[in-house]
Amino acid sequence: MKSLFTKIGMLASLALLFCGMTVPASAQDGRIELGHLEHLTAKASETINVSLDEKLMQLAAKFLAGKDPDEMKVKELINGLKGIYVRSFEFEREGEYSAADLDSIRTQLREPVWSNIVNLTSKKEGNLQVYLMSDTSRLGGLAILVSDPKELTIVNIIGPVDLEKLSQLEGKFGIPELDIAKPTNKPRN
Amino acid sequence: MNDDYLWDKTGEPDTKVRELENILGTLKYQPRPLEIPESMPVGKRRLVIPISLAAAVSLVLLGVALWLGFNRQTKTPVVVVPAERESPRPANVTQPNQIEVAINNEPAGDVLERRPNTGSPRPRRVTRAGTQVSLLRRAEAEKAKAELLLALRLTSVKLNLAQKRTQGAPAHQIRNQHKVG
Repeated sequence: MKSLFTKIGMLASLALLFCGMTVPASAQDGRIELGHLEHLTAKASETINVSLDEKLMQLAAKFLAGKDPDEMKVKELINGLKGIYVRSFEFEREGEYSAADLDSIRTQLREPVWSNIVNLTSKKEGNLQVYLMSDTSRLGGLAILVSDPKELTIVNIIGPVDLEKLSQLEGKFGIPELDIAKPTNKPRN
Repeated sequence: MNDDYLWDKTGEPDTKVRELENILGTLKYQPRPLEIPESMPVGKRRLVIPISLAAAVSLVLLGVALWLGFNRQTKTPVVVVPAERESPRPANVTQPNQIEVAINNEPAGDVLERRPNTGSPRPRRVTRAGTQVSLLRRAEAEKAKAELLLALRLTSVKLNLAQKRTQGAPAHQIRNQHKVG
């Protein structure tokens, strides 16, 4: 009888260990938790906050013009995507966000779910990391983390992403150029 | 022949006229009280009060029915904005997914309202409430579209920035670049 209890205890311990080692469900579906960055909104001079789940993207897709070739590309691009989440903060001064803010994101972008494919560090231009989430055969998601002294941007796209098509979208739709694409040491007013 | 008699009863009447007067005179109006035959039953039960009550109740029911119908027709869709906003946002950037419209899954152009407890299985075509829902849906979709384009463009900008920087970056900073694209 004693040995039976011992075995049950060992099995329970193994089960708990297994549960602890498994990747959280939120990480597996590719969604990055960004709620802890909300305190930066008050400090930022400019904020972009986009949260589009699958339902909203489908709704938006209905209003994309079928005849416009650019919007057709967008329609194709978002086909199959589960969500797009963007947080971008620009600050007047340096050091408004902490290393802990960055670490809390990087800890979610770990292998084996995420693969860091680009890791650029520069004191002058800031840091830029690109992560991909791979399924068995295709991309399951994309994450971009841009951090320079006056900017923190996180892009999280869930679903199969066509990176080539995505990179071709810059300068389309008649939207004026974004300041965030310019050199970051430019003085802001 | 003198026709004055026919006009104002003066003069001598014609013989035929006199005969006609005699024949038809029995039917002329004679002022006398109404004679009700004894055999006719006079209403002993007064129905005024019950009829009045029934009319009043009918009017009340009709009023309630009209009020309910009008109230249901003009009821706007439920818009739930959760108290927990992710962040205060600038005016030009909003977050449409926080708005949940009750008929979120209907096609964009339809102005149909589903009523759960009306007893009628068919969706009813409405005017005012349907238009409000349609406007809400359109506004939400336009907002979502704008945010979608903004997010995709921002992503595109960052990807291109990464690509440009990788062209001049040291080799150890680029990992698994063959996977990109």
